[in-house]
Amino acid sequence: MSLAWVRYTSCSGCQLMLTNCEAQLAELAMQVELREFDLISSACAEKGRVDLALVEGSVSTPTELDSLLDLRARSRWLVAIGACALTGGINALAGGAERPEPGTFPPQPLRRFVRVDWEIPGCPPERSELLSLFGALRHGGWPARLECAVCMECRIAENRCLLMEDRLPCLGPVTRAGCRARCPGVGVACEGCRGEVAEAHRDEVFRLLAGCGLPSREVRRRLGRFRGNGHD
Amino acid sequence: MPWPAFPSIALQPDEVGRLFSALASGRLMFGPRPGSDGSCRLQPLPEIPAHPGAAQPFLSLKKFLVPDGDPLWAWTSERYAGPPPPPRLTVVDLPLCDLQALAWLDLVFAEDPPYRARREALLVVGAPCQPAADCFCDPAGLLPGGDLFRAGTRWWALSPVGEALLVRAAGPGNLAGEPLPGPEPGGAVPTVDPARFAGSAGDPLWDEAAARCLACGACSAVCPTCMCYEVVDDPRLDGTVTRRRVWDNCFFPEHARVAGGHDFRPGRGRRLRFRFEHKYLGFGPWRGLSSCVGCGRCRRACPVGISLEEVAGRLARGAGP
Repeated sequence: MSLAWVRYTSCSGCQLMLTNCEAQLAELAMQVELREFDLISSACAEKGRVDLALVEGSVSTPTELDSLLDLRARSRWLVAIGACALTGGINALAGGAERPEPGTFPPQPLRRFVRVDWEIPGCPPERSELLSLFGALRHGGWPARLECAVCMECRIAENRCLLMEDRLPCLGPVTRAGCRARCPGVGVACEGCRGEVAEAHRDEVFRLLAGCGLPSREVRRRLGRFRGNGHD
Repeated sequence: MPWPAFPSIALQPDEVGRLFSALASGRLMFGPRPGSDGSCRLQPLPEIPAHPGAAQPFLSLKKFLVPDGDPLWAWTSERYAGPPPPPRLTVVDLPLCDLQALAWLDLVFAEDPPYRARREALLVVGAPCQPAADCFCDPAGLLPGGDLFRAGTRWWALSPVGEALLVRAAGPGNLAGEPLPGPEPGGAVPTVDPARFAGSAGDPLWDEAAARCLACGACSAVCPTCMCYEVVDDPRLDGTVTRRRVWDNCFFPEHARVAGGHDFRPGRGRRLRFRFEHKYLGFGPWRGLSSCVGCGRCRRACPVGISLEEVAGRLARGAGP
Protein backbone atom coordinates (compact mmCIF):
# COMPACT_ATOMS: atom_id res chain seq x y z
CA MET A 1 0.00 0.00 0.00
CA SER A 2 1.56 3.26 -1.11
CA LEU A 3 1.06 6.24 1.16
CA ALA A 4 1.18 10.00 0.83
CA TRP A 5 0.77 12.19 3.89
CA VAL A 6 0.10 15.73 2.75
CA ARG A 7 -0.24 18.74 4.96
CA TYR A 8 -2.08 21.95 4.18
CA THR A 9 -2.82 24.78 6.62
CA SER A 10 -2.08 23.09 9.95
CA CYS A 11 0.45 22.65 12.74
CA SER A 12 1.82 19.19 11.79
CA GLY A 13 0.41 17.87 15.05
CA CYS A 14 -1.57 15.16 13.28
CA GLN A 15 1.47 13.63 11.56
CA LEU A 16 3.33 13.92 14.82
CA MET A 17 0.69 11.68 16.38
CA LEU A 18 1.49 8.98 13.85
CA THR A 19 5.26 9.36 14.21
CA ASN A 20 4.75 9.12 17.97
CA CYS A 21 3.50 5.55 17.56
CA GLU A 22 7.07 4.33 18.09
CA ALA A 23 6.12 0.76 18.93
CA GLN A 24 4.27 0.35 15.64
CA LEU A 25 6.53 2.28 13.25
CA ALA A 26 8.64 -0.72 12.22
CA GLU A 27 5.52 -2.73 11.38
CA LEU A 28 4.09 0.28 9.57
CA ALA A 29 7.25 0.65 7.51
CA MET A 30 6.91 -2.97 6.40
CA GLN A 31 3.24 -2.61 5.50
CA VAL A 32 3.24 0.67 3.61
CA GLU A 33 5.43 2.21 1.00
CA LEU A 34 6.09 5.85 1.85
CA ARG A 35 5.81 8.06 -1.21
CA GLU A 36 5.29 11.48 0.36
CA PHE A 37 5.69 12.25 4.03
CA ASP A 38 7.73 15.37 4.72
CA LEU A 39 8.03 14.89 8.45
CA ILE A 40 9.56 11.43 8.02
CA SER A 41 11.54 11.71 4.81
CA SER A 42 12.68 14.45 2.47
CA ALA A 43 13.46 11.89 -0.22
CA CYS A 44 10.03 11.99 -1.80
CA ALA A 45 9.52 10.16 -5.03
CA GLU A 46 7.66 11.65 -7.95
CA LYS A 47 4.10 12.63 -7.21
CA GLY A 48 2.48 9.64 -8.89
CA ARG A 49 -0.55 7.52 -8.06
CA VAL A 50 -0.95 6.39 -4.45
CA ASP A 51 -3.30 3.99 -2.71
CA LEU A 52 -3.83 6.08 0.35
CA ALA A 53 -3.63 9.85 0.77
CA LEU A 54 -3.81 11.12 4.33
CA VAL A 55 -4.51 14.82 4.41
CA GLU A 56 -3.94 17.08 7.37
CA GLY A 57 -5.02 20.72 7.58
CA SER A 58 -7.55 22.99 6.00
CA VAL A 59 -7.38 24.56 2.56
CA SER A 60 -6.69 28.28 2.63
CA THR A 61 -4.71 29.15 -0.51
CA PRO A 62 -5.22 28.57 -4.23
CA THR A 63 -1.96 26.59 -4.29
CA GLU A 64 -3.29 24.23 -1.60
CA LEU A 65 -6.53 23.84 -3.49
CA ASP A 66 -4.71 22.93 -6.71
CA SER A 67 -2.60 20.43 -4.79
CA LEU A 68 -5.69 18.87 -3.15
CA LEU A 69 -7.50 18.45 -6.46
CA ASP A 70 -4.39 16.86 -7.95
CA LEU A 71 -3.98 14.58 -4.92
CA ARG A 72 -7.59 13.44 -5.15
CA ALA A 73 -7.17 12.58 -8.80
CA ARG A 74 -4.14 10.38 -8.15
CA SER A 75 -5.32 8.70 -4.92
CA ARG A 76 -7.40 5.60 -4.53
CA TRP A 77 -8.52 6.61 -1.04
CA LEU A 78 -8.36 10.05 0.48
CA VAL A 79 -8.70 10.34 4.24
CA ALA A 80 -9.15 13.64 6.09
CA ILE A 81 -7.13 13.69 9.31
CA GLY A 82 -7.81 16.00 12.24
CA ALA A 83 -10.09 18.89 13.05
CA CYS A 84 -8.64 21.32 10.49
CA ALA A 85 -9.17 18.94 7.56
CA LEU A 86 -12.67 18.05 8.77
CA THR A 87 -14.14 21.42 9.68
CA GLY A 88 -11.50 24.12 9.22
CA GLY A 89 -10.64 23.49 12.84
CA ILE A 90 -8.23 25.74 14.65
CA ASN A 91 -7.54 27.78 11.54
CA ALA A 92 -11.18 28.69 11.22
CA LEU A 93 -11.45 29.95 14.79
CA ALA A 94 -10.80 33.55 13.75
CA GLY A 95 -14.14 33.22 12.02
CA GLY A 96 -13.40 35.93 9.46
CA ALA A 97 -12.84 38.48 12.21
CA GLU A 98 -9.48 39.44 10.77
CA ARG A 99 -8.71 40.29 7.19
CA PRO A 100 -7.15 37.31 5.48
CA GLU A 101 -3.50 37.51 4.45
CA PRO A 102 -3.04 38.44 0.82
CA GLY A 103 -3.28 35.38 -1.40
CA THR A 104 -5.34 33.38 1.10
CA PHE A 105 -9.01 32.71 1.70
CA PRO A 106 -10.84 31.66 4.89
CA PRO A 107 -9.79 28.09 5.85
CA GLN A 108 -12.05 25.46 4.33
CA PRO A 109 -12.57 21.77 5.16
CA LEU A 110 -11.46 19.25 2.51
CA ARG A 111 -14.93 17.98 1.71
CA ARG A 112 -15.83 21.43 0.50
CA PHE A 113 -13.80 20.56 -2.61
CA VAL A 114 -13.21 16.81 -2.91
CA ARG A 115 -14.74 13.46 -2.05
CA VAL A 116 -13.41 12.26 1.31
CA ASP A 117 -13.46 8.48 1.79
CA TRP A 118 -12.90 8.42 5.53
CA GLU A 119 -12.44 10.85 8.38
CA ILE A 120 -10.35 10.67 11.51
CA PRO A 121 -11.44 13.55 13.73
CA GLY A 122 -9.80 15.24 16.69
CA CYS A 123 -7.22 17.82 17.63
CA PRO A 124 -4.99 15.95 17.72
CA PRO A 125 -6.42 12.69 16.34
CA GLU A 126 -6.14 9.59 18.49
CA ARG A 127 -3.14 7.39 17.76
CA SER A 128 -5.36 4.34 18.13
CA GLU A 129 -7.61 5.58 15.36
CA LEU A 130 -4.69 6.25 13.03
CA LEU A 131 -3.40 2.73 13.62
CA SER A 132 -6.87 1.17 13.24
CA LEU A 133 -7.09 2.77 9.82
CA PHE A 134 -3.96 0.97 8.63
CA GLY A 135 -5.08 -2.24 10.31
CA ALA A 136 -8.50 -2.15 8.67
CA LEU A 137 -7.15 -1.23 5.22
CA ARG A 138 -4.70 -4.11 5.44
CA HIS A 139 -7.72 -6.41 5.78
CA GLY A 140 -9.65 -4.62 3.04
CA GLY A 141 -12.12 -2.43 4.92
CA TRP A 142 -12.62 0.66 7.03
CA PRO A 143 -12.40 0.67 10.83
CA ALA A 144 -15.50 -0.06 12.89
CA ARG A 145 -16.92 3.05 14.45
CA LEU A 146 -19.71 3.40 16.96
CA GLU A 147 -21.18 6.84 16.38
CA CYS A 148 -21.99 8.28 19.78
CA ALA A 149 -21.30 11.20 22.08
CA VAL A 150 -18.34 11.69 24.42
CA CYS A 151 -20.79 11.35 27.36
CA MET A 152 -21.06 7.61 26.67
CA GLU A 153 -17.30 7.03 26.91
CA CYS A 154 -17.12 9.43 29.87
CA ARG A 155 -19.65 7.29 31.78
CA ILE A 156 -17.85 4.10 30.83
CA ALA A 157 -14.70 5.70 32.29
CA GLU A 158 -16.72 6.52 35.45
CA ASN A 159 -15.72 10.17 35.33
CA ARG A 160 -17.36 12.78 37.48
CA CYS A 161 -19.72 14.83 35.26
CA LEU A 162 -18.16 18.27 34.80
CA LEU A 163 -21.31 19.69 33.24
CA MET A 164 -23.73 18.69 35.96
CA GLU A 165 -21.55 18.64 39.05
CA ASP A 166 -19.12 21.48 38.36
CA ARG A 167 -21.23 23.54 35.92
CA LEU A 168 -18.36 23.59 33.44
CA PRO A 169 -19.35 24.23 29.80
CA CYS A 170 -18.55 20.71 28.62
CA LEU A 171 -19.47 19.80 25.03
CA GLY A 172 -19.49 16.05 25.73
CA PRO A 173 -23.21 15.58 24.96
CA VAL A 174 -22.84 16.77 21.35
CA THR A 175 -19.27 15.75 20.51
CA ARG A 176 -18.27 12.62 18.61
CA ALA A 177 -16.75 9.98 20.87
CA GLY A 178 -13.63 7.94 20.20
CA CYS A 179 -11.23 9.78 22.51
CA ARG A 180 -12.38 7.80 25.58
CA ALA A 181 -13.30 11.17 27.13
CA ARG A 182 -9.65 12.14 27.36
CA CYS A 183 -10.21 15.74 28.56
CA PRO A 184 -13.12 15.25 31.01
CA GLY A 185 -11.10 12.33 32.42
CA VAL A 186 -8.54 14.85 33.70
CA GLY A 187 -11.11 17.44 34.73
CA VAL A 188 -11.03 19.56 31.58
CA ALA A 189 -14.34 20.34 29.88
CA CYS A 190 -14.74 18.90 26.36
CA GLU A 191 -13.98 21.52 23.69
CA GLY A 192 -15.68 19.50 21.00
CA CYS A 193 -12.55 19.05 18.86
CA ARG A 194 -13.83 15.82 17.32
CA GLY A 195 -16.79 17.59 15.79
CA GLU A 196 -20.50 17.33 16.29
CA VAL A 197 -22.43 14.07 16.62
CA ALA A 198 -25.08 13.18 14.09
CA GLU A 199 -28.51 14.44 15.19
CA ALA A 200 -26.98 16.81 17.78
CA HIS A 201 -29.59 18.48 19.97
CA ARG A 202 -28.23 22.00 19.63
CA ASP A 203 -31.08 23.85 21.38
CA GLU A 204 -30.87 21.84 24.57
CA VAL A 205 -27.09 22.00 24.74
CA PHE A 206 -27.29 25.73 24.20
CA ARG A 207 -29.58 25.93 27.23
CA LEU A 208 -27.22 23.75 29.31
CA LEU A 209 -24.15 25.82 28.47
CA ALA A 210 -25.98 29.05 29.12
CA GLY A 211 -26.87 27.50 32.50
CA CYS A 212 -23.12 27.31 33.23
CA GLY A 213 -23.08 31.08 33.28
CA LEU A 214 -21.76 31.75 29.78
CA PRO A 215 -23.23 34.64 27.80
CA SER A 216 -25.22 33.55 24.73
CA ARG A 217 -22.59 34.83 22.34
CA GLU A 218 -19.87 32.78 24.01
CA VAL A 219 -22.11 29.68 24.00
CA ARG A 220 -22.68 30.09 20.26
CA ARG A 221 -18.96 30.49 19.63
CA ARG A 222 -18.11 27.49 21.74
CA LEU A 223 -20.68 25.31 20.01
CA GLY A 224 -19.62 26.48 16.57
CA ARG A 225 -15.85 26.06 16.95
CA PHE A 226 -15.58 22.60 15.49
CA ARG A 227 -18.83 22.51 13.61
CA GLY A 228 -17.48 23.81 10.34
CA ASN A 229 -19.11 27.23 10.20
CA GLY A 230 -22.09 26.04 8.27
CA HIS A 231 -20.09 24.27 5.57
CA ASP A 232 -21.59 20.88 6.47
CA MET B 1 -44.20 -10.98 46.11
CA PRO B 2 -41.89 -10.93 49.16
CA TRP B 3 -38.59 -12.73 48.87
CA PRO B 4 -38.26 -16.16 50.47
CA ALA B 5 -35.97 -16.76 53.43
CA PHE B 6 -32.35 -17.58 52.62
CA PRO B 7 -30.08 -20.02 54.53
CA SER B 8 -28.46 -17.90 57.19
CA ILE B 9 -26.11 -18.03 60.16
CA ALA B 10 -24.46 -15.68 62.66
CA LEU B 11 -20.72 -16.37 62.31
CA GLN B 12 -18.19 -16.44 65.14
CA PRO B 13 -14.97 -14.46 64.59
CA ASP B 14 -12.90 -17.57 63.77
CA GLU B 15 -15.55 -18.67 61.27
CA VAL B 16 -15.49 -15.23 59.67
CA GLY B 17 -11.71 -15.58 59.39
CA ARG B 18 -12.10 -18.89 57.53
CA LEU B 19 -14.76 -17.44 55.28
CA PHE B 20 -12.64 -14.36 54.47
CA SER B 21 -9.70 -16.62 53.58
CA ALA B 22 -11.91 -18.61 51.23
CA LEU B 23 -13.27 -15.42 49.63
CA ALA B 24 -9.80 -13.97 49.18
CA SER B 25 -7.89 -17.07 48.15
CA GLY B 26 -6.48 -16.64 44.63
CA ARG B 27 -8.81 -13.74 43.95
CA LEU B 28 -8.66 -10.03 43.35
CA MET B 29 -10.98 -8.19 45.71
CA PHE B 30 -13.12 -5.20 44.85
CA GLY B 31 -15.59 -3.08 46.72
CA PRO B 32 -17.35 0.29 46.35
CA ARG B 33 -15.01 3.05 47.51
CA PRO B 34 -15.29 6.83 47.11
CA GLY B 35 -12.56 8.33 44.92
CA SER B 36 -10.77 11.63 45.50
CA ASP B 37 -13.37 13.30 43.25
CA GLY B 38 -16.22 12.13 45.47
CA SER B 39 -17.48 9.50 43.00
CA CYS B 40 -17.87 5.97 44.33
CA ARG B 41 -16.47 3.18 42.14
CA LEU B 42 -15.74 -0.52 42.45
CA GLN B 43 -12.06 -0.40 43.35
CA PRO B 44 -9.42 -2.93 44.34
CA LEU B 45 -9.33 -3.69 48.06
CA PRO B 46 -6.28 -4.96 49.96
CA GLU B 47 -8.57 -7.07 52.14
CA ILE B 48 -12.23 -7.62 52.89
CA PRO B 49 -13.46 -4.90 55.27
CA ALA B 50 -14.30 -6.35 58.66
CA HIS B 51 -17.58 -4.46 58.85
CA PRO B 52 -20.11 -4.45 56.02
CA GLY B 53 -20.76 -1.07 54.43
CA ALA B 54 -22.55 -1.11 51.11
CA ALA B 55 -22.51 1.85 48.77
CA GLN B 56 -23.71 2.22 45.22
CA PRO B 57 -20.80 2.36 42.75
CA PHE B 58 -20.89 4.56 39.61
CA LEU B 59 -20.95 1.46 37.40
CA SER B 60 -22.37 -1.83 38.58
CA LEU B 61 -21.03 -5.34 38.11
CA LYS B 62 -21.64 -5.11 34.38
CA LYS B 63 -18.27 -3.44 34.05
CA PHE B 64 -16.72 -6.75 35.13
CA LEU B 65 -19.20 -9.16 33.56
CA VAL B 66 -19.77 -7.53 30.16
CA PRO B 67 -16.80 -5.15 29.94
CA ASP B 68 -16.74 -2.63 27.11
CA GLY B 69 -14.43 -3.94 24.40
CA ASP B 70 -14.41 -7.50 25.75
CA PRO B 71 -12.50 -9.77 23.33
CA LEU B 72 -14.60 -12.70 22.08
CA TRP B 73 -11.83 -14.27 19.98
CA ALA B 74 -8.62 -13.33 18.26
CA TRP B 75 -7.22 -14.45 14.93
CA THR B 76 -3.42 -14.61 14.84
CA SER B 77 -1.20 -16.27 12.27
CA GLU B 78 -3.96 -18.37 10.68
CA ARG B 79 -5.32 -19.50 14.05
CA TYR B 80 -8.30 -18.57 16.16
CA ALA B 81 -7.92 -18.27 19.92
CA GLY B 82 -10.65 -17.84 22.49
CA PRO B 83 -10.57 -15.06 25.06
CA PRO B 84 -8.07 -15.34 27.91
CA PRO B 85 -9.47 -16.91 31.10
CA PRO B 86 -11.32 -14.24 33.09
CA PRO B 87 -9.84 -12.95 36.35
CA ARG B 88 -11.11 -14.53 39.57
CA LEU B 89 -12.78 -11.75 41.51
CA THR B 90 -14.58 -11.25 44.80
CA VAL B 91 -16.75 -8.14 44.94
CA VAL B 92 -18.02 -7.21 48.39
CA ASP B 93 -20.50 -4.75 49.85
CA LEU B 94 -22.80 -4.33 46.91
CA PRO B 95 -26.22 -2.83 47.62
CA LEU B 96 -29.38 -4.88 47.02
CA CYS B 97 -30.27 -3.03 43.82
CA ASP B 98 -27.01 -4.20 42.26
CA LEU B 99 -27.67 -7.77 43.38
CA GLN B 100 -31.08 -7.56 41.71
CA ALA B 101 -29.41 -6.21 38.57
CA LEU B 102 -26.98 -9.13 38.70
CA ALA B 103 -29.95 -11.51 38.77
CA TRP B 104 -31.22 -9.84 35.60
CA LEU B 105 -27.88 -10.13 33.81
CA ASP B 106 -27.67 -13.79 34.87
CA LEU B 107 -31.06 -14.34 33.20
CA VAL B 108 -30.30 -12.53 29.98
CA PHE B 109 -26.80 -13.95 29.52
CA ALA B 110 -27.69 -17.45 30.80
CA GLU B 111 -26.51 -19.02 27.55
CA ASP B 112 -23.66 -16.64 26.76
CA PRO B 113 -20.29 -18.44 27.15
CA PRO B 114 -18.09 -15.35 27.78
CA TYR B 115 -20.56 -14.12 30.40
CA ARG B 116 -20.81 -17.52 32.02
CA ALA B 117 -17.02 -17.77 32.24
CA ARG B 118 -16.75 -14.37 33.91
CA ARG B 119 -19.71 -15.07 36.19
CA GLU B 120 -18.32 -18.39 37.36
CA ALA B 121 -15.03 -16.68 38.26
CA LEU B 122 -16.88 -14.09 40.35
CA LEU B 123 -18.06 -14.17 43.98
CA VAL B 124 -20.48 -11.44 45.02
CA VAL B 125 -21.22 -10.38 48.58
CA GLY B 126 -24.03 -7.93 49.32
CA ALA B 127 -24.70 -5.73 52.32
CA PRO B 128 -27.54 -3.45 53.43
CA CYS B 129 -27.35 0.17 52.36
CA GLN B 130 -29.31 3.31 53.08
CA PRO B 131 -31.32 4.43 50.06
CA ALA B 132 -30.54 8.00 49.01
CA ALA B 133 -33.25 10.57 48.37
CA ASP B 134 -33.27 9.72 44.67
CA CYS B 135 -33.27 5.92 44.73
CA PHE B 136 -35.29 3.18 46.34
CA CYS B 137 -35.21 -0.51 47.11
CA ASP B 138 -38.01 -2.62 45.74
CA PRO B 139 -38.77 -5.73 47.81
CA ALA B 140 -41.32 -6.79 45.19
CA GLY B 141 -38.69 -6.70 42.46
CA LEU B 142 -36.22 -9.25 41.18
CA LEU B 143 -34.92 -11.82 43.64
CA PRO B 144 -31.34 -10.72 44.49
CA GLY B 145 -28.53 -12.47 42.64
CA GLY B 146 -25.03 -12.99 43.98
CA ASP B 147 -23.62 -15.46 46.45
CA LEU B 148 -23.62 -14.04 49.96
CA PHE B 149 -25.12 -11.22 51.98
CA ARG B 150 -23.86 -9.92 55.30
CA ALA B 151 -25.26 -7.58 57.97
CA GLY B 152 -23.50 -7.30 61.33
CA THR B 153 -22.32 -10.80 62.20
CA ARG B 154 -25.11 -12.52 60.26
CA TRP B 155 -24.55 -14.01 56.82
CA TRP B 156 -26.99 -15.24 54.21
CA ALA B 157 -26.36 -17.66 51.35
CA LEU B 158 -27.91 -16.38 48.12
CA SER B 159 -26.57 -19.16 45.88
CA PRO B 160 -25.42 -22.79 46.23
CA VAL B 161 -21.84 -21.50 45.96
CA GLY B 162 -22.50 -19.09 48.82
CA GLU B 163 -24.10 -21.83 50.89
CA ALA B 164 -21.10 -24.12 50.37
CA LEU B 165 -18.81 -21.28 51.54
CA LEU B 166 -20.84 -20.78 54.73
CA VAL B 167 -20.96 -24.51 55.42
CA ARG B 168 -17.21 -24.74 54.95
CA ALA B 169 -16.67 -21.88 57.38
CA ALA B 170 -19.18 -22.89 60.06
CA GLY B 171 -19.77 -26.60 59.60
CA PRO B 172 -22.86 -28.34 58.21
CA GLY B 173 -26.28 -28.25 59.79
CA ASN B 174 -26.01 -24.77 61.32
CA LEU B 175 -27.81 -22.76 58.66
CA ALA B 176 -31.45 -21.77 59.09
CA GLY B 177 -33.86 -19.94 56.79
CA GLU B 178 -33.96 -16.24 57.57
CA PRO B 179 -35.35 -13.32 55.57
CA LEU B 180 -32.88 -10.71 54.32
CA PRO B 181 -32.78 -7.48 56.33
CA GLY B 182 -34.69 -4.74 54.58
CA PRO B 183 -34.77 -3.68 51.90
CA GLU B 184 -35.56 -0.25 53.17
CA PRO B 185 -39.09 0.70 52.17
CA GLY B 186 -39.66 3.92 50.31
CA GLY B 187 -40.52 3.15 46.76
CA ALA B 188 -41.39 0.61 44.18
CA VAL B 189 -40.50 0.11 40.57
CA PRO B 190 -43.36 1.74 38.65
CA THR B 191 -45.90 -0.70 37.27
CA VAL B 192 -46.67 0.05 33.66
CA ASP B 193 -49.89 -1.21 32.15
CA PRO B 194 -48.98 -2.78 28.79
CA ALA B 195 -52.30 -1.78 27.21
CA ARG B 196 -51.91 1.82 28.27
CA PHE B 197 -48.34 1.82 27.00
CA ALA B 198 -49.37 0.33 23.66
CA GLY B 199 -51.94 3.07 23.23
CA SER B 200 -49.53 5.84 24.12
CA ALA B 201 -47.57 6.06 20.87
CA GLY B 202 -49.20 9.37 20.02
CA ASP B 203 -49.10 10.75 23.55
CA PRO B 204 -47.33 14.10 23.74
CA LEU B 205 -45.45 12.99 26.85
CA TRP B 206 -42.91 11.22 24.63
CA ASP B 207 -42.34 14.32 22.56
CA GLU B 208 -42.02 16.44 25.67
CA ALA B 209 -39.31 14.20 27.12
CA ALA B 210 -37.64 13.91 23.72
CA ALA B 211 -37.61 17.69 23.41
CA ARG B 212 -35.02 17.71 26.20
CA CYS B 213 -33.28 14.34 25.64
CA LEU B 214 -29.76 14.77 24.24
CA ALA B 215 -29.58 11.10 23.19
CA CYS B 216 -26.13 11.07 24.79
CA GLY B 217 -26.67 7.56 26.14
CA ALA B 218 -25.47 8.36 29.67
CA CYS B 219 -28.60 6.79 31.21
CA SER B 220 -28.14 3.37 29.67
CA ALA B 221 -24.36 3.47 30.12
CA VAL B 222 -24.82 3.66 33.90
CA CYS B 223 -27.91 1.43 34.08
CA PRO B 224 -26.96 -1.84 35.80
CA THR B 225 -29.36 -3.85 33.62
CA CYS B 226 -28.82 -2.18 30.22
CA MET B 227 -26.71 -4.64 28.28
CA CYS B 228 -27.08 -3.90 24.56
CA TYR B 229 -23.84 -4.49 22.76
CA GLU B 230 -22.39 -4.25 19.29
CA VAL B 231 -19.83 -6.68 17.94
CA VAL B 232 -16.90 -5.13 16.06
CA ASP B 233 -13.70 -6.42 14.54
CA ASP B 234 -10.49 -4.77 15.60
CA PRO B 235 -7.89 -5.45 12.87
CA ARG B 236 -4.29 -4.59 13.62
CA LEU B 237 -1.37 -3.63 11.47
CA ASP B 238 0.45 -6.88 12.31
CA GLY B 239 -2.40 -8.92 10.80
CA THR B 240 -4.17 -9.98 13.98
CA VAL B 241 -7.90 -9.42 14.29
CA THR B 242 -9.78 -9.34 17.58
CA ARG B 243 -13.54 -9.52 17.63
CA ARG B 244 -14.86 -7.42 20.47
CA ARG B 245 -18.11 -6.77 22.25
CA VAL B 246 -18.55 -3.02 22.81
CA TRP B 247 -21.33 -1.30 24.72
CA ASP B 248 -24.10 -0.12 22.44
CA ASN B 249 -27.01 2.07 23.32
CA CYS B 250 -30.59 2.38 22.11
CA PHE B 251 -30.19 6.16 21.86
CA PHE B 252 -27.54 5.93 19.16
CA PRO B 253 -28.66 6.73 15.62
CA GLU B 254 -27.30 3.43 14.31
CA HIS B 255 -28.81 1.19 16.97
CA ALA B 256 -31.91 0.34 14.96
CA ARG B 257 -30.58 1.15 11.49
CA VAL B 258 -30.49 -1.79 9.12
CA ALA B 259 -29.34 -2.53 5.58
CA GLY B 260 -30.57 -0.01 3.07
CA GLY B 261 -30.47 2.78 5.66
CA HIS B 262 -33.89 1.96 7.10
CA ASP B 263 -34.35 2.86 10.74
CA PHE B 264 -36.85 1.14 13.02
CA ARG B 265 -36.71 3.99 15.49
CA PRO B 266 -35.91 7.33 13.89
CA GLY B 267 -35.72 10.25 16.27
CA ARG B 268 -35.19 10.70 19.98
CA GLY B 269 -38.86 10.32 20.90
CA ARG B 270 -39.13 6.83 19.44
CA ARG B 271 -35.84 5.80 21.03
CA LEU B 272 -36.84 7.12 24.44
CA ARG B 273 -40.12 5.25 24.23
CA PHE B 274 -38.30 2.09 23.22
CA ARG B 275 -35.92 2.34 26.16
CA PHE B 276 -38.89 2.85 28.46
CA GLU B 277 -40.67 -0.22 27.04
CA HIS B 278 -37.56 -2.36 27.22
CA LYS B 279 -36.96 -1.36 30.84
CA TYR B 280 -40.45 -1.55 32.33
CA LEU B 281 -42.27 -4.07 30.14
CA GLY B 282 -39.42 -6.44 29.38
CA PHE B 283 -38.64 -7.95 26.03
CA GLY B 284 -38.51 -11.29 24.23
CA PRO B 285 -38.80 -14.24 26.63
CA TRP B 286 -38.78 -11.81 29.56
CA ARG B 287 -41.80 -9.78 28.47
CA GLY B 288 -43.68 -8.80 31.60
CA LEU B 289 -40.55 -8.66 33.76
CA SER B 290 -39.31 -5.17 34.58
CA SER B 291 -35.55 -4.78 34.72
CA CYS B 292 -35.58 -1.50 36.66
CA VAL B 293 -34.08 -2.01 40.11
CA GLY B 294 -34.70 1.51 41.39
CA CYS B 295 -31.03 2.43 41.74
CA GLY B 296 -31.61 5.95 40.41
CA ARG B 297 -28.41 6.01 38.34
CA CYS B 298 -30.17 7.00 35.10
CA ARG B 299 -31.81 10.04 36.59
CA ARG B 300 -28.58 11.12 38.27
CA ALA B 301 -26.58 10.67 35.06
CA CYS B 302 -29.02 12.56 32.82
CA PRO B 303 -27.65 16.02 31.96
CA VAL B 304 -31.19 17.31 31.41
CA GLY B 305 -32.86 15.56 34.34
CA ILE B 306 -35.17 13.16 32.53
CA SER B 307 -36.64 10.52 34.84
CA LEU B 308 -38.22 7.44 33.31
CA GLU B 309 -39.95 6.92 36.64
CA GLU B 310 -41.73 10.24 36.26
CA VAL B 311 -42.66 9.31 32.71
CA ALA B 312 -44.11 6.06 34.07
CA GLY B 313 -46.09 8.01 36.63
CA ARG B 314 -47.53 10.30 33.98
CA LEU B 315 -48.40 7.34 31.81
CA ALA B 316 -50.20 5.68 34.71
CA ARG B 317 -52.17 8.85 35.43
CA GLY B 318 -53.19 9.06 31.79
CA ALA B 319 -51.03 11.91 30.67
CA GLY B 320 -52.34 14.47 28.29
CA PRO B 321 -51.02 17.62 26.77
